[in-house]
Amino acid sequence: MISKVLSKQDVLSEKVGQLTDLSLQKPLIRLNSERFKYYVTSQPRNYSVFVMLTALAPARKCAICQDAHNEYELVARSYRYSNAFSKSVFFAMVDFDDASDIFQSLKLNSAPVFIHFPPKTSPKKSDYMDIHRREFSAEQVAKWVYERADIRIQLIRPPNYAQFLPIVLIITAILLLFYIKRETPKIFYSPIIWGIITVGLVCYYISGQTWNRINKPPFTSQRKTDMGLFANDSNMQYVAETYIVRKHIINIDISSNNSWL
Amino acid sequence: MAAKVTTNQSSIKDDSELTANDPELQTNVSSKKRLSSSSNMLATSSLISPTGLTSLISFIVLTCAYISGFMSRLFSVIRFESIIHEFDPWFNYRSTAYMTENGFYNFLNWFDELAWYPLGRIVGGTIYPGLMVTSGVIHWFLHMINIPIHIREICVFLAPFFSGLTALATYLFTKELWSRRAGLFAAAFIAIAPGYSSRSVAGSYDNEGIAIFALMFTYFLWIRSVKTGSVFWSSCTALSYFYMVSAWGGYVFIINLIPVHVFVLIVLRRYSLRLYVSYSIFYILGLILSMQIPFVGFQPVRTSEHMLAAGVFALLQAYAFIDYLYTKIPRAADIKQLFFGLIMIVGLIVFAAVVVLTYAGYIAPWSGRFYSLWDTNYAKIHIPIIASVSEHQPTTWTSFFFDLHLLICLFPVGAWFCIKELTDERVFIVLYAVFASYFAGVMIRLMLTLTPCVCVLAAIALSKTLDYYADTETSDMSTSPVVPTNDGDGDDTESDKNNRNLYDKAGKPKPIPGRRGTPGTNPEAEEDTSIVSSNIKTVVVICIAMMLMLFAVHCTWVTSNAYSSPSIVLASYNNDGSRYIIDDFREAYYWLRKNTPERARVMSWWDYGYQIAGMGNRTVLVDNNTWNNSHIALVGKAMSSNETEAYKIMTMLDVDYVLVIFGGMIGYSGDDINKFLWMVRIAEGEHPKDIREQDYFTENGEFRVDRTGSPVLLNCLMYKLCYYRFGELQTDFRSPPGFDRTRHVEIGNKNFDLQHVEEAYTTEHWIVRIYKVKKLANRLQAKNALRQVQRRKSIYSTTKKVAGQARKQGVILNKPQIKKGTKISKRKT
Repeated sequence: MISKVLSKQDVLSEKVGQLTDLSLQKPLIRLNSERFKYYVTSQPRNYSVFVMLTALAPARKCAICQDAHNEYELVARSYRYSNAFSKSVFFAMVDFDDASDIFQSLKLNSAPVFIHFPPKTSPKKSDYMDIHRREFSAEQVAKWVYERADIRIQLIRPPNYAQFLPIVLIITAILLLFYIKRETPKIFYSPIIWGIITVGLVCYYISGQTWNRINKPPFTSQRKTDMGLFANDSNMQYVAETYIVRKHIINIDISSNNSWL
Repeated sequence: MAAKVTTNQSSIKDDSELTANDPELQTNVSSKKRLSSSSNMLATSSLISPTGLTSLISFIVLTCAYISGFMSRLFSVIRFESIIHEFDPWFNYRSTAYMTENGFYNFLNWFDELAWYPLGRIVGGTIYPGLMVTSGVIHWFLHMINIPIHIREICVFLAPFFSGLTALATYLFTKELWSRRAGLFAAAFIAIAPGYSSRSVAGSYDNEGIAIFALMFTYFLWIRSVKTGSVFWSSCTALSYFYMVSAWGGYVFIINLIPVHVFVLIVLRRYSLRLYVSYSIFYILGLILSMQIPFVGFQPVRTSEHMLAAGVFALLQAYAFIDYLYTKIPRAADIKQLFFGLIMIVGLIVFAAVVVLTYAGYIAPWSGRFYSLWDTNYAKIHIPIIASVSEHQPTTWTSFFFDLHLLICLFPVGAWFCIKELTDERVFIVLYAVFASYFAGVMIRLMLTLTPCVCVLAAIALSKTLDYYADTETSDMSTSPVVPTNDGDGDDTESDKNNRNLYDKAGKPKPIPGRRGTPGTNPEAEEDTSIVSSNIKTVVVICIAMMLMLFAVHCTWVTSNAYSSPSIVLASYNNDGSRYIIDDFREAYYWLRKNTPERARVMSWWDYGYQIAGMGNRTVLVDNNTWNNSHIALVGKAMSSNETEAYKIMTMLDVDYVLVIFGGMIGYSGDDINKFLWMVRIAEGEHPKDIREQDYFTENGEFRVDRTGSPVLLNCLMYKLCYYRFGELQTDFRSPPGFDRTRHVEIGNKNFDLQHVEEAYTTEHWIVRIYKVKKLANRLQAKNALRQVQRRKSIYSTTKKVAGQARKQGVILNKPQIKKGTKISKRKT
């Protein structure tokens, strides 16, 4: 009896030790069928595991799986390097091509799926993350993790250098222009250029482009029956319609300006 | 009272005619003036002095603009009554009334215990007192000359009064920028533009009402001081800025826009001693003055919002010094690049210093409210309480058109004209245009700061167009961009233009007087530019006049229909056109005031906090000054949990009454059920373990209150309070009982009882429902209730004894009986 208990504890500590090693090597543990059964489904277990079941192989043509994987890996990595890192929560993933039998046993026919395996018990309905209602952005995943396992993960998103690229390009272009035209700096004081820039900016803002950027409406009406360019609701607008408005404002400007040229 | 109303109506009739005629008047004016100037130019034989005539016409037009601006804001007073509107104005009114009663110093030290129970609020240190002081001063003055007017009337009519003053300030501003004619147009526009009147109708007693006046006046003085470089004008700018700081948090816009102007002027190599003098004096005086407001305190030196001004100040000092060296060192032109490099280095040092200080913690980073203006998605993710306010949403183009109509189309034209003929002060209006339109695009509320700028630029565009087209007699339209007039201002702009090439020789504040500027001196330009015949010109003028008339009609219509509702009194129209007033809010607040204990604490969503405190005079837990997010989240949590959980929170917070707004009975859409998701979201932000937004949606992710709605929603406190006994009510014969008219569904959970609260009051149309929170229930009694029997017996016996004693004969009244002392007190009662 005692030896059995001991062996159980041995198994447990061995499992935890292995899992800790694995997640220290790589924040997101990749599991195949046997390891999944050994670490996740079989008892004894005193830790909870978050598993993403996905299909990453290009042949599977799962476009969102890669995005979901990136976001999930971000959560796992943030967890790995945060103070909250402990031996009670692990992040793992299972690829369909590694372990299709797991998908069958869990009766899953879509991917990606996020499941939380709580310690000791098997997952209930609430342990499945509802990706239809929530997005699988890292913030949402972290929130879900917090709800299920009470671990608050401070997300450390690596800075997205791509979004600075246009700004850097513009600044370089301007500096380059300065450098080229340093002998004749008149061009920078040309009111025409500044006028075009200013009027363009003003028209951009007053035609409601900021609203588009924040609320991301469809380009035109989505209804099949009519191809509406203009929204009926005063609190709604489509992208196309703002383009039209902007063009009109600029037209008015040009026409009224033409009388002057 | 009736007589008063009729006079008001007649006056509003005049007003509508007046506003309709106004633009026409404007065009007439400008054409007349044009005529006068041209007549002056052609022959000086006119009988009336043209200067006098133009002054007279300007005076008349400005008076008309003032009056029409004032009148067009009175719709709400005429339709309803002289009443304070909406939410925030109620607090302003309450504190103004407190100040007039208790004096200014008591007001500054006022601890308001009716708000934020149990925390309270130190009012003097958390508001901009300018509004209260302004109306207090007016009140004091009127009482001094023996006009015993109630403070409420002053509060109601303050905003229209100040919008007239805004028209005058805009006139002065535009006159400095362009010409007097454009100024008249701008004054007329700003007087009636809906973008501004939306915040300044009578009764809307809010900071914005006076702040826009202060804004425009500060800008005018700033332009004036940049133009003249005089210490006097820049001190005036600082004083006006001080008034603005005391009035509205939007002063940050000024303290950032003016430094940007200075900076851009330096970059455009338009630096002059005038600029140096005016900015240095403005910054130092403005800084010291603004720190006198308790709410602002040390912010101007400690927060990032103000660092631009400080940085530009440092840069300007360095620039001035280097510029001085440049003039003093012999052969400085040879080492020009050294100076240029020096300036760049100084700029970088200043920038780096600000960054380092921010990281070191000496300067607070951008606060959430301001930061959300730059990072437009920030508030949506991090601060739901900011995102929940409808006026913090981004603006669609329809609202731009709705609020500014014709002006928004003319606005970029004006900007173009200003850039084409750039001067120091026009740089300012162009920057103002760019920044204000950005902010207005991000946040619909900031349309208010854009409106004056749009009015000014549209006026410039229109005035310039009319300069050409309204002049049908002569065709002196030369290539000279500024049409020279014979008043002093035209002279100013003209000479400035001529001076532009000499800007480097700084310290030339005054143009040479009488330099030229009479149009007769450029006859060669007069040769042949009139491609357009005079008939076409007339047609164009008529078209413009008609558009302006449409604009005036639109403005009047918008102000009357969209912005003149007090929102605490609702009006609905029957099929025959008769009006039906729904006055449930005041009914409920009056009930609270009269029927609840004086110290009763009322829990409601924060929107109604100021009104309950203002009209109901009862303590509230949260109000519209949303400074404590966790407290609001606690109320939101109480509203969105089930009754038992909510009762725990309510007892913890000492709540006596709960007030909810329910519109399902008459179809009022701004009720608490429609706001409910925000309560859930805000509660979730602080208590993510207990409240989850998804629980309130159906399987399909819909928010429904009918049978398919989520069970959590159908059992939460807010739902129960709103729909208590609503299932028994059949509002209409065509619909089943319990039919919600706002959401057009039959409610899902009909027959339920309330366990911990009881209905205290429901108004006529069920808009406001008030519930009393029961005290903790007695423990359940034990089966063998021996003690209970004993106690009842004793009570029974004493009462019987009293009754028996009263019947006894020969008992001396008030005879002291030591043993039965309780009986005397009983008898007394």
